[in-house]
Amino acid sequence: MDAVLQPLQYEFFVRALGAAIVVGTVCAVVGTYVVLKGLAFIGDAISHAAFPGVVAAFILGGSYYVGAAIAAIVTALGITYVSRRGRLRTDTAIGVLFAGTFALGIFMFSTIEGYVADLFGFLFGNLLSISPADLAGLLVLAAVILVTVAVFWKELLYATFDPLGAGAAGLRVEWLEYGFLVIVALTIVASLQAVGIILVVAMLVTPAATAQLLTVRFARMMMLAVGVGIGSAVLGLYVSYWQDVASGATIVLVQTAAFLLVLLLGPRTGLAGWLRRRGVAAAGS
Amino acid sequence: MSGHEHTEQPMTTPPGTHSDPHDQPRRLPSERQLPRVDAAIDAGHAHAHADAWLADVTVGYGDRPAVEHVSLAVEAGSLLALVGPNGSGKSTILKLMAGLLRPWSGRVEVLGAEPGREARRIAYVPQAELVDWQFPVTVADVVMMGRYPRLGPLRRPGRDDRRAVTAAIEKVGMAAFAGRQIGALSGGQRRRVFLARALAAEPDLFLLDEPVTGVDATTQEDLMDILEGETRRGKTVVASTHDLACVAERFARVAFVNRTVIAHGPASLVLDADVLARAYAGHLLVVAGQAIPIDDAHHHDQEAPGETHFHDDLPPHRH
Amino acid sequence: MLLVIAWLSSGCSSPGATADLGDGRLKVVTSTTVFADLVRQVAGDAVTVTSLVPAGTDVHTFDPKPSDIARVADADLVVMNGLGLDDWVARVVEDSGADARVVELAVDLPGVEYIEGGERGDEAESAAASDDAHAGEEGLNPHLWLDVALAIKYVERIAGSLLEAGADAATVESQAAGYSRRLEALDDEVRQRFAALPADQRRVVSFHDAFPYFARAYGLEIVGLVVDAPGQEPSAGAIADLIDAIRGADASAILAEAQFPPDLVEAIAAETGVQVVSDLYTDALGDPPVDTFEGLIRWDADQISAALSPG
Repeated sequence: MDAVLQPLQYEFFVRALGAAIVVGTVCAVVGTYVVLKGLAFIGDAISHAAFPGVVAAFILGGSYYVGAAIAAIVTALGITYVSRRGRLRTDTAIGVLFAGTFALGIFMFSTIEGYVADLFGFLFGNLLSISPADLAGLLVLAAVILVTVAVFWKELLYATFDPLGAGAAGLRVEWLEYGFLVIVALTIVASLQAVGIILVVAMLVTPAATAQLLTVRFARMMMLAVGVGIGSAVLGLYVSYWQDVASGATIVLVQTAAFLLVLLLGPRTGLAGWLRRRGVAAAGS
Repeated sequence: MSGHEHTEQPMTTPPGTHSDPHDQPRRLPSERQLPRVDAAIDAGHAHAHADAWLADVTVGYGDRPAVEHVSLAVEAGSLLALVGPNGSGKSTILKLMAGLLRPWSGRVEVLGAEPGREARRIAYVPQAELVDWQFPVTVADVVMMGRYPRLGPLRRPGRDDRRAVTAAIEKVGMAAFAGRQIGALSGGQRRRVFLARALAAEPDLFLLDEPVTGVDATTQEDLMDILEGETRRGKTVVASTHDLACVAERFARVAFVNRTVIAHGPASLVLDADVLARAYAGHLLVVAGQAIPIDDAHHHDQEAPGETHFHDDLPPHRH
Repeated sequence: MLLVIAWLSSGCSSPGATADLGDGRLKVVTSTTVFADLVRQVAGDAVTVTSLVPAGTDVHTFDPKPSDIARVADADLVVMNGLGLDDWVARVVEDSGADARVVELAVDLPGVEYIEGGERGDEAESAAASDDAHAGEEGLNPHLWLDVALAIKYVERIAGSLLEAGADAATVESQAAGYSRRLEALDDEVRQRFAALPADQRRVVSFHDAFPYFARAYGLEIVGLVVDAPGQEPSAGAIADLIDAIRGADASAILAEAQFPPDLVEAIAAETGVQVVSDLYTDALGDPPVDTFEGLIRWDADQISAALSPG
């Protein structure tokens, strides 16, 4: 028990825990749709595209989060536009923009003469240095995202499952698609401080992917994803505390371990499912 | 399939002649005027009674037109089949009516408004193949989706919605499967689920893309019963299909489509050889009075007894 | 087309160094702006000096660009610190194929009592060198110059190597002597400054291990480090340990440096209630008044003593 309580006496740890839980929750909720729509690659591209936004904000002296948000949103909309209108396959369009935007960020970064160390925090996350103001901002952004998803969850579900049918039924499928990608971009920007650009796609995808292995009901999948997201955030942070290792990466590793565990032992793809099917077959014979 | 025709099917027949196509004097297709909607004649009447109305519409995908100069009026309350070979544009016409495609030229009106405006009153059932079957939704979830558009954002499904969903699921005979994930269903069962979704939406116009293609006979009968029931309640149903026998037996009206509307009239037109030859423009196999389209390569062979082969480069040979 | 080629070939000589004016002045390249200033003070107009790492950039994580390598290729003398601070300079010299002399200011400096704790993630050291098992050939702290008395030894070595490289003896010797005297005065000044501080106000935490020689010379005690090495983020457990150390030792200030991100320091300071001395300069100069070595030392001394003074 002391292992749990001891770190809580430090304010920085409590803030980090709060931020990790919030990020885990929002990423799991949005990530459920991301996984079902197959947007993992786009998510990674958006997060890498945030880097030039951060660098530009630094050069211009603006807010990093605004810069990251603008870059992420522009990229998200750009990818959707290109894949809808262009002759390219989506993953080709993404591949081109992905590395190109990141290289732009590095290019701009190399022109900076002067103190630039804070920018690297965006690549790998800066969970332990979250200030109270940052945490407040994160909570507000998370609230906005969650409320938006709550308002449109039916429409998003319909459009994700059957865009043709949904469009014919009168839902504005194009608006929903663009709007959803803006939500993804904002979720990524909110999560940058926790795990950084490189790892944020894991926070989006892994908990939802794990949940998908456990259930065939959408609502349950989202709840399980949130459970995994929060659980891994808490467990990961504590492990990183006691084992003296990087926090963001530990959280992601816990999520990945959970996924593998469910994959190997779970009801649909793993041991539990195999045993059950064998039991059913034996009962039938 | 009575011969009593209204002006929505004007033909250039000599006055006083009974307008049943089967009574028409036999003429070669190139000579005979096939029955079709003539938009110039009495378009107003056709328009006024139509739930779906296309006037001289051309549209396609990319650069290529899929349908050209399509004119069609679908009267309210009709049970209309769209038939034609693969790639003839049947799906395109359905999508035009559903508001999923904007015409390059011509006008489309659905339920008295621009397509897409009255989308809440329209149910479009696409060919089921385009859906991700691993999606974590059950039969009940999918059917409930039919209620979403009328709910709008913020509102959660309520008792009325659940009631409509249960009724729809029951109607299609899937009550025992309500909690099953859709990937665990057979082809016919999936078709029923999507029809249930359409029913749950309580629309005025049903647009169905190949609803009975590739399903077992029982499902086909059940689905047609339901569609017929809807038209009896005054709803309009437009469905595309390959199955000419089904059209002849179950549908009230038919429109032949091959990049444009070749013919439009009562379902018995399906048995009219000239119409079939024009529409299918390729091989048509007539076996024991039933015409079956063949979409394979052109070939010259000897007709077996009881078969009539139609070729598009030879005048039809009738006995 | 010919114009382009001519322009390109003339531009190939590095933008940083001055073009060869044929005046025979010695070309010196240093790793940091601090050493560049030392060289300038010693040699005056006898040499042209540039620094590889620009003002305001951290030497530990600096990544040389092609133009930097070109500059080194032209140099007659390369001045670096050694002991792990700027070891990458040796590679740059090799890559450039220059035949310049390379002098490492901190290595094997006679008469220096080295402090252990190289920048390789050792535990926090107090100013009094402990016999840490990690100590070894490489495990020496490189930040000698912040102890002005040791900076004077740097000056001596610089003068020696300039002479060896062929700079004008008269200029170098007289300038070096004069500069050394000024530095001695500076050393006294700082010593007295800190002597005035009460004994219980001398415990500090520094961001990275840049201040052990400074602390030893001027009577401060370093009770903890925020990061083991620049570029390495501390883990949650390490931060907790540091907070405990700060509280336990009742530290009075955290010495933060201008080139490192402030968030972490601010978070720790907020939680412990300790003052942050930000904007300290250690291995790079800045804008005036921190544009010379003396300016740097005075500035740091002012900032730190002000923070540690009671009231």
